[in-house]
Amino acid sequence: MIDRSAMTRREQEAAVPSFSESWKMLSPRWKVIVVATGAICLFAASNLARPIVIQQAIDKGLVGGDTDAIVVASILFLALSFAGYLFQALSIYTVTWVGQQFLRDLRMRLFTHYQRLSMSFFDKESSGKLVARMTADMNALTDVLNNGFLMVVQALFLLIGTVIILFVLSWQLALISLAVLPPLVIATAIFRVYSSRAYEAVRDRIADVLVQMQETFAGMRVVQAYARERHNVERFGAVNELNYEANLKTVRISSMYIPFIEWLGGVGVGLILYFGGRGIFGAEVSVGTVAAFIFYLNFIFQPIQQLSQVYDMLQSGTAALNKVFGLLAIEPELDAARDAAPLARPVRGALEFGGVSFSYGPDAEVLHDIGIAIEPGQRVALVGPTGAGKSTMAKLLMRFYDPTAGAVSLDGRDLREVAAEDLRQAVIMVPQEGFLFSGTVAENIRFGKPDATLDELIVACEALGVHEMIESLPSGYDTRVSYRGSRLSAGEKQLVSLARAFVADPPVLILDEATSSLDPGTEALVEEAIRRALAGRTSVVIAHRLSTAEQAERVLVVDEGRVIEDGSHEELVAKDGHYAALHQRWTERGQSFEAV
Amino acid sequence: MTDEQLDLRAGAGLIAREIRRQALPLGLAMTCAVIWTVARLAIPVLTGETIDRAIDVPGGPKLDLLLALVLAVVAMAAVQGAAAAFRRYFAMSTSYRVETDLRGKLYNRVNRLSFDYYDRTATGQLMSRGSTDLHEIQLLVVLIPINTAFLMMGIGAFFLLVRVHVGLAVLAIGVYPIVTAITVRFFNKLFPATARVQQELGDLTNVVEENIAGARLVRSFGREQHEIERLGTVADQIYDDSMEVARLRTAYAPLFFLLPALGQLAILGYGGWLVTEGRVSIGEFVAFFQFLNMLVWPVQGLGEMVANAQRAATSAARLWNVLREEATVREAPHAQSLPAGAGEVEFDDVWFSYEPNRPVLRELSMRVPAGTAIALVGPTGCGKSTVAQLLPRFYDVEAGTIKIDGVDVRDVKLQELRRSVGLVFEDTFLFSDTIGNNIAYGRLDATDAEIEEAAALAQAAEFIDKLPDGYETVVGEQGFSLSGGQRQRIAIARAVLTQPRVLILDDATSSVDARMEEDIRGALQRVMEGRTTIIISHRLATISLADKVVLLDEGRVADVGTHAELMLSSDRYREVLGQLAVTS
Repeated sequence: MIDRSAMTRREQEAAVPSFSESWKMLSPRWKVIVVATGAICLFAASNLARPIVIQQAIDKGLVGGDTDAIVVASILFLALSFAGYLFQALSIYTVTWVGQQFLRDLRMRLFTHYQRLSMSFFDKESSGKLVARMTADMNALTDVLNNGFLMVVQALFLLIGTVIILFVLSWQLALISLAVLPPLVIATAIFRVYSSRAYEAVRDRIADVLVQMQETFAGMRVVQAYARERHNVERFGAVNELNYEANLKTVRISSMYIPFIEWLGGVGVGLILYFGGRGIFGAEVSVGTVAAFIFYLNFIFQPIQQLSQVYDMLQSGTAALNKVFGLLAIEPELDAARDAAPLARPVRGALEFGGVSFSYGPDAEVLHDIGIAIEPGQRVALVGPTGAGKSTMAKLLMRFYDPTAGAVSLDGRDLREVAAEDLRQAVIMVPQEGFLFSGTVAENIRFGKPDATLDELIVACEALGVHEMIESLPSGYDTRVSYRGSRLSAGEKQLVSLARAFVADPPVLILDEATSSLDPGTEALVEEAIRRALAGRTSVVIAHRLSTAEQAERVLVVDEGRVIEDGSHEELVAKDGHYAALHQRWTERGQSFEAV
Repeated sequence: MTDEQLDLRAGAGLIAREIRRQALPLGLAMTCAVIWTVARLAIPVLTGETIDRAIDVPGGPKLDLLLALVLAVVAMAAVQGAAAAFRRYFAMSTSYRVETDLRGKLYNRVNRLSFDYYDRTATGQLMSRGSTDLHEIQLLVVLIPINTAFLMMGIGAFFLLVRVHVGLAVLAIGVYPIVTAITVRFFNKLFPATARVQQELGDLTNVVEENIAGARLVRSFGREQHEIERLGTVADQIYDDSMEVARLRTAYAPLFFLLPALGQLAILGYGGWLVTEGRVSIGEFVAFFQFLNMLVWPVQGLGEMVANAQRAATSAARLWNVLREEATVREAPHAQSLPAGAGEVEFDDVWFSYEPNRPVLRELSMRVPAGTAIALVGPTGCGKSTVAQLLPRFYDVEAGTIKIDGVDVRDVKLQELRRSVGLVFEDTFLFSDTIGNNIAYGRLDATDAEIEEAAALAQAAEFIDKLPDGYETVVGEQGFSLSGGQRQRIAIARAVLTQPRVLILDDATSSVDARMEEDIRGALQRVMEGRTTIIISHRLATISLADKVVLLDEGRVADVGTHAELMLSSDRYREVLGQLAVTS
């Protein structure tokens, strides 16, 4: 089991291999990467070459009066422009292709990993974090892959190429004009620090604004019920204004940087004109060279500003990559034993807890030495207060966890030695709240038996007594639902969820009964559907209602991690023990008895 | 959202009004833009002059003139920089001002609307008005002065070129309108494609969230492979549409490079020939190139703005649809204060429907004497919750009257009415704030002692004290997650703290377990003492707290009596409570 600190350590450890891991995923497409890199460099080169062509045209053609030189230069210029066009197109397409392929592979790899991870992992990790790996982090990577790579290669090539060309054209003038470089780099670096700080503030402030909007709009009924509109408007006004201020700060910062950069550009032109014009270090500089220098000045300013933009992008991209590969490095805790073998068919459904103890963490043991055998076809109800260990017993039966001592077995076989797929087909759980996947109602029910036809679904739903309810939905079986906010009531969701398990027809059914009360009409439907779903198979129900316990053949009273009473409803009531007391209060009080 | 009627003219009008309100800063931005343009254009002109008069002159460079002209270039650059900074500052601050103001208006408006509006509007829809749509408008406002400057620069450059040589000017600048037109086309094609990718990224998030929340089910049914394939479908779609975006960029982006290059080619070939003919000077030739370089961004920017303006008008039209909504429940002009009273409630012949011709309440009449409690019982859809929402005027009745202490609720000051009715909803909504502030939601001036007292009354004090930060624990979506029962008790404390004249518990104990319900029962008993209370529940334990039970059926009062009386006399009552009776 990985605790939180170990998890962060793993994330840190993954910091180095994330690049080699990425390369492993990229390397099969190395040919395209080479083409892309080449295309970017050639595009940049065609940009670099054009001022030289102009310089040649000026010096030989315009100043020298050679019209042929102008024609040659024009043809060269045209050729360079078309080459640039082609290479730019090629680079955009290939870079995006590689990037998007990588992203698709990484998404699939991460999601497949989620599907392999043990349930204990999901109990510990916040779902928001896991979703963020797949969304925010992937978006950060998309930025890097779509633009970052292209911009870095291009900017570096342009910058280095420009410096070399300038020195070749005239090292003297190059030295002078590159004097603008240090202040440009320093100013840009300072600007980057302040502006990324300011943008961070903007992100925080806009988040405040959005949160308050979201909450007010979602909770409008409460807002009006408590007549809070005026106060809210005032409060929002303040938050909204803070966001404005934060935005303004970024404007102020760039308002200091931009004039300096523009002025520096003018200084560059001035330096080139002055020293180019009067000659420098005793060297004569041609008019064409002066013009070329002025054109090249752009290739110094643009790449540096681009690189500073990319820097932030690369940083968040690297962080995202580390987080994603850190998660991928976590191994699932439960692996099927190497000698896992198929279950003998048909599965009879005999369950046994053989001296089972279990603890989630190193300290607190939640189940102590439980020894229970459940016969095939037996309907068992687990009863007891919250935290007694009922759900843990159910989770062990599903092998979401392995016991710390003893063994849970099905048809006499330790679950650890049963092939995962067989176990899943044999034991199915219906969780407390009816959980719906987005899709149609039919798709949700078919979840239990992917190859079932609609007719089969209808037959099953009729047998379960939920067909009419489903037919009464806006589009019947084709009604669209989703796990967030669907129009189905809690009871209807439970019915669909039961139908899903019923269609799968497992030999063993584990059911966690809902605690919250439903309105009476649906409640009756749910109870009837549960009764029918349990018939003819081994079942273990975490019971919250008296009627459920009454209908069970065998009741296990669980308290503090032990089974303290075991027998039929009648036997236990007659026995005058814990269950009898429970039953007493139950009949007096109402139907739910979870925490008694 | 898609079938929303959009009035683009109204949207444009909304933007125009906001811009007019910012006339001064925008005017300043424009002024700076003019200065910037002049300085920007002056630099190539000065460069050309420098080459022609000080460098490329017979007898070698004229150093004095060279220095003077170079200093002029540097000075112009300083002016240009300063003007750029101010232009940007005024333009950006104005755009953020407009965005902020409009967001404030949106928020205010939504706060003032009535429940019927919230019933038909999704939160997500309002959120996208307040974020994406406002962002489009902000972008347009920023682009206006910047593009005005660009446009002026383009026209200025054109005239400077024309002055030198008309034919060359037309040839060189001729490609630029094409660039603008292509840019508009590009963005209009690009936008729907990127929107599709965004939509699919949303779908992907849904699949991932579902699979994390429903991990147990997926494992339980052994459907991992199916889910992987499901994600694969979405991931492939994202890939396909991202590549569609890439194809658009591949087709268009290099054009923005090629077309200006063709203009430069015109200068190089035709202009170069003109120089050898002596009709254009070398300095002018170099200046031409600089002009063209300067114009690459502006013409693209112009195209971008046209495309953006279309989207901004659509966004503003969507925003306008919210801003023009009027509250359906409004305070009467001569609304009075609620007279002192003990909270007698009376429904007299009340009719109400959410949709035309489908009445939910039909001539409902009932009286709740001050200080007593009634329970509303009935099958799903009988109108129980509607009764609860009519009393604080979340909706207005269609016919009949509702009175508190003898006054029609429509004649009472709205805020006062709502403050005097405490409502605990079935789905408890907590704000992302501390527990203390959530309890004090209805009474900002409550002292800590009062908050704790209310919490104690609602049986919430015990678990709050056990939380890491007690009353300072932040709850809500981003905060500490509480159980349904705990949330409900906080909601009850919230209602209790306002000392309402009438308390309404709308299924307020539904997710509380039996022992807790027993505790809350005790609490409710104390809270209800001497206070008019309307209880909506189908739990016997809660119903039995009421002095009387009103049985509702199909929007009418079917029967009234004590629980015991109704159990004896009403078949329908027994039927409605039937399932409860069976299990207990």
